[in-house]
Amino acid sequence: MGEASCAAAGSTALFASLLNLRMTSTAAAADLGPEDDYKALVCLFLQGGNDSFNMLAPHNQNAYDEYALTRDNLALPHENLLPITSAGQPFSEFGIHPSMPRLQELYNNQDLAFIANVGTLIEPLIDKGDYSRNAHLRPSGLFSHSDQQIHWQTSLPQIKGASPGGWGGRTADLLQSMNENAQISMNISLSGVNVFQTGEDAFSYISGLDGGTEMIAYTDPFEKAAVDSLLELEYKNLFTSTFATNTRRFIDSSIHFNEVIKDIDISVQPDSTSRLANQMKMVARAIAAHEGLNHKRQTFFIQSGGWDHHNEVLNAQTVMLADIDVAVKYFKEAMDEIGMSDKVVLFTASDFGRTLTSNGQGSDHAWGGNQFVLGGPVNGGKIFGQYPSLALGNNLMLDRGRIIPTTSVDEYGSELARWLGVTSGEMDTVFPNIQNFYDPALITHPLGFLS
Amino acid sequence: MLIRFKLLPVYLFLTGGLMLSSICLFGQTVDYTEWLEQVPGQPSELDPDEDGFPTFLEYALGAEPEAAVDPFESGSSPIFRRENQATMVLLPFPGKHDMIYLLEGKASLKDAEWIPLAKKLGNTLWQSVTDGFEIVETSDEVTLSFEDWPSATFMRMRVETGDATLQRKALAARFLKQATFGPTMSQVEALADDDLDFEGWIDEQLTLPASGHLDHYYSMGVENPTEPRRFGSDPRGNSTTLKVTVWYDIALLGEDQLRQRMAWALSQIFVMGEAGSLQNFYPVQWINWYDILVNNAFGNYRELLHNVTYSPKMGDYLTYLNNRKANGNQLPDENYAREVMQLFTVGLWHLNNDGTLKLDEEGQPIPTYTNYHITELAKVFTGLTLSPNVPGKHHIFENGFKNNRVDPMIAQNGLHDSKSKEMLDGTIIPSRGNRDVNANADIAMALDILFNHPNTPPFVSYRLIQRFTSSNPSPEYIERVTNVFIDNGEGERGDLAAILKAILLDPEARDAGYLMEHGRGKLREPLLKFTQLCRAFNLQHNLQNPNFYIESMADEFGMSPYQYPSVFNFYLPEFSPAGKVQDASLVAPEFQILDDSTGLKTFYVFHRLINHGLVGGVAKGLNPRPKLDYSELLPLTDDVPALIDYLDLLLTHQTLRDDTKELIIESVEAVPDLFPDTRVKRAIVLITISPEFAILE
Repeated sequence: MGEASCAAAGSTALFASLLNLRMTSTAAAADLGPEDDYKALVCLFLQGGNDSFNMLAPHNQNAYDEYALTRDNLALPHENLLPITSAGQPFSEFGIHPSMPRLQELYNNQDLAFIANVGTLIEPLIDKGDYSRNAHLRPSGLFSHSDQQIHWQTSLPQIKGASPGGWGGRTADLLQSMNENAQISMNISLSGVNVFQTGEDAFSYISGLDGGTEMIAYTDPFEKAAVDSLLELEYKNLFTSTFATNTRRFIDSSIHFNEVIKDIDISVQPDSTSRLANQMKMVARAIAAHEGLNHKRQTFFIQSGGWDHHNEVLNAQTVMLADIDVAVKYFKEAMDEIGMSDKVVLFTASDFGRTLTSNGQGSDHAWGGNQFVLGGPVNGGKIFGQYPSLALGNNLMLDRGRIIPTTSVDEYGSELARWLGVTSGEMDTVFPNIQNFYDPALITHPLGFLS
Repeated sequence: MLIRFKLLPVYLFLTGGLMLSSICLFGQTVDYTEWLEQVPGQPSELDPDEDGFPTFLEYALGAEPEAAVDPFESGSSPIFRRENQATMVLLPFPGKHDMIYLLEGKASLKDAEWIPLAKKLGNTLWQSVTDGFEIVETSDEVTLSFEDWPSATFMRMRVETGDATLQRKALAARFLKQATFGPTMSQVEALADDDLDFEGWIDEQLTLPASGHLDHYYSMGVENPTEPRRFGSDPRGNSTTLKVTVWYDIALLGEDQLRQRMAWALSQIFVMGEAGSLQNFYPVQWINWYDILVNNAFGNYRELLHNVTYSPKMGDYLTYLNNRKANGNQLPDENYAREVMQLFTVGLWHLNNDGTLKLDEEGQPIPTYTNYHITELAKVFTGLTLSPNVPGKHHIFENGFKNNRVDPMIAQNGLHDSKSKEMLDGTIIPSRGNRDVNANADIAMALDILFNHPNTPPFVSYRLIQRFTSSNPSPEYIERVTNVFIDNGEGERGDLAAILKAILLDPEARDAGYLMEHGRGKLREPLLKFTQLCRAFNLQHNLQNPNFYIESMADEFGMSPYQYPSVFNFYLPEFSPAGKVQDASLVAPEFQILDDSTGLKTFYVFHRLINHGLVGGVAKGLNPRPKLDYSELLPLTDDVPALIDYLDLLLTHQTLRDDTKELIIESVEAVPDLFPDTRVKRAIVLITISPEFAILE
């Protein structure tokens, strides 16, 4: 424990909260499980709003016809959809986007499940009447990118902005005490600083495709000595002080991270043209290195950009969903290789679903959308939540085919957080709105994909 | 030696003599010495005429040399007078350029410390250095008001000599860091010699002709300039690097620094970037877009809004080019309707003029518009299409399809939605009959409403202030700029030149309060730190490199011209980094792009630039590469403290702490003086890593 607070100034906060938790939460300590207990959660965020009712479309003929009528020139041809079936929905035949054959295979092998019509909610809204009567229950800045990206990550959509931090960060606040002697954050991002992994104390460690960046001035011992000294000074200006603290942390974290991962490689190689698959490889290396990093719990954040398809949604998705397909399959192979498939869950998130109706060339910002989860612990081969009717004018549908979510980010996220180790008593710390959806003391798996 | 005024209930001390014994004369200028030599008889530092004003003070207060020996003359002594409970008046006097005047206060004489209240450098205006202490200076009198007189029950004026000139230079350097891509020493000196006439400097900048980016591109002699450019062996590279080359050539060498800085700031509000765009390989389209911002930088915001709205590049980016009226289930694209309100004009929430949120009866913020208004406004932005092709001006496809992404879009009224539209403020843009459909008129009406909305001035002002001077402007600062946005003094709304002037000349941007308050200022954009280095050390083209082929720094800096990750810019205005800034409820947008990766890669780029110039990792090009010019510094390398003082002034406007300087001096002196070049490089490298260089206080 002494080492945890040594070099990195930034880890003092982590250390303080660790002590704090130790002193107040002996019950939590009992839940920590056996010594070889390890789990990781990987968030794949599709930035811009994936048009996910074309990623998971109805295949049942009646439902497909409704889909085709609503989507007009954005509808995928029935015969091109990759068929799958699911119990527990109004009909059983669904189709995956034709660019995602590997996803279909993973689904059929029970490694992957879908969650239908998830979105940001403060409280359940049962239909559009409920929506129009209760303006105060609408997420602030609904349908706007910046707001909904943030709300997916904070899960506090009544609060504008990122100030509450993310539910990944709050989860880490609670669980990072399990990572004794960790010198870098258990939250590792391949896509820069993000809201999801920012908690009260928790922050992200940022890695590049080949690991951390090292400090160039350290190649000269005199420059190193001067840099070390000047970063140690106390600065009165808050920005200056924060800059110094952060720079110190960046330097120390990268040295440590690179030292630990340098000998760890994954033999299965990703497609060199897929940045996303290469990011997955770095995630796999960091998972394989968890012992060296002293991590029993980790979260990862990867963002894939460019999903805001007001234009050219069909062509763009053909290429971009194929990239997701390849990268996710690669990740599964990498997890199999290092024997971590049963300890890692990957899930997707995105700003929002898109309007079902067309603007002629693409679709606009909407609300509920479909997501998928992958991993050994997942009850694969099934669609969880409620797949909605896509007929225009139905009870859940606002103008332009914007669907009110039937599953909240809280329900989706809390099942993931619980699997990672958040207890029922702590759930409202991570998801302050949780009681609006269910009582975590009574229900452990609101959706069931990880039960 | 102590002159005491009894002005109930406030006691005032005017001291000069008290300080005389402790005056630091290290940098005493010739001017005081010369003056002293003109004093008749035996010049003395003390008080030969025993009038209570020591010789030094008589000089400082502007007396003739004879006054030093004339008991009835003591210059125009700064007499205080109590006006009312909250106000005092001080007679103005022209300060001496080699003197620094300080007003200080104490609650009780038993207090150990005098609290600095205000400061005057030579013949510049008085500047408050503490919160709530306000100074209004006219030619007749200087009015001092203070919320907290009890803490200044006793007040004194102190005079210091020596470094007023240096301090003026530091203030000049600070201003030029706010207003340009980085100062050179000669610019710092010129502005300091000009008695820090910031307004005069701005006025001169306003008259300079614009450096057009497209003109510059055409002057580079690129073969087939309108054709797409992908990748190749040409050092000028692909479209991205070409337009970045144009950008750096102008940012680093253009005379019209203020205009170019404003264009760069505007490009972070009217964001149009490569990610998610079409036709990225055609440099002409992109550079022409940037010229809209350059040409309108000192124009009117309404005009700028028009030009942005009709830009075919924005039409592509926010997907309203060829947007058409509703057709069955296909409805108009909402992208531009949303963003023009959320990002370019009114924002999401109703604001007061000082930028604070308006609240409803329940204390909740009030949305400016609903999704209904977006759907309605989307109908307005229908019917815009490309202008006809103009051979030679842009690339034309073999099939002859329209591809004029240079000239403004034109209305094709047949595609325009002619039904009535309800605006966010309830105004109805009326429906028009089939023969009267008029997309241009509808768009003009909608833009007028957005431009005239009460939110637009504070919303835009706040964002512009953040780009130039401060991440957390006070409500008062925002309101002062907002008021200029509303009316430039001549009845014009949206005068960008006046707005920019208000931002840069505001007391909060100019006064010395930043020395006292620890939440002032901002983290500088890494790109601006880079341009500052290039300009400070006179980076120039050479025969082999007639342009700067600087690489995209998107990975290293987290930002690069034309490479905005999304319409939300490189960072959000409300981003707050964990730690002390967040704990103080402050924001610091630029911290959003400072992470484990960029935070260290930036130093890598600086290290390469400082040590080797525009080499791989920083730029493409042919050898020999352009390098930073250290010829001004080499004579100083024998005297390392002087070298560091010079760099501290030029790079960090004298904000380097003494212990930081000591550390750097020690490290530089470890280099044998046989290697002056290495000494200079190490000194600059270390300063660029210092936290003081990163922050603009």
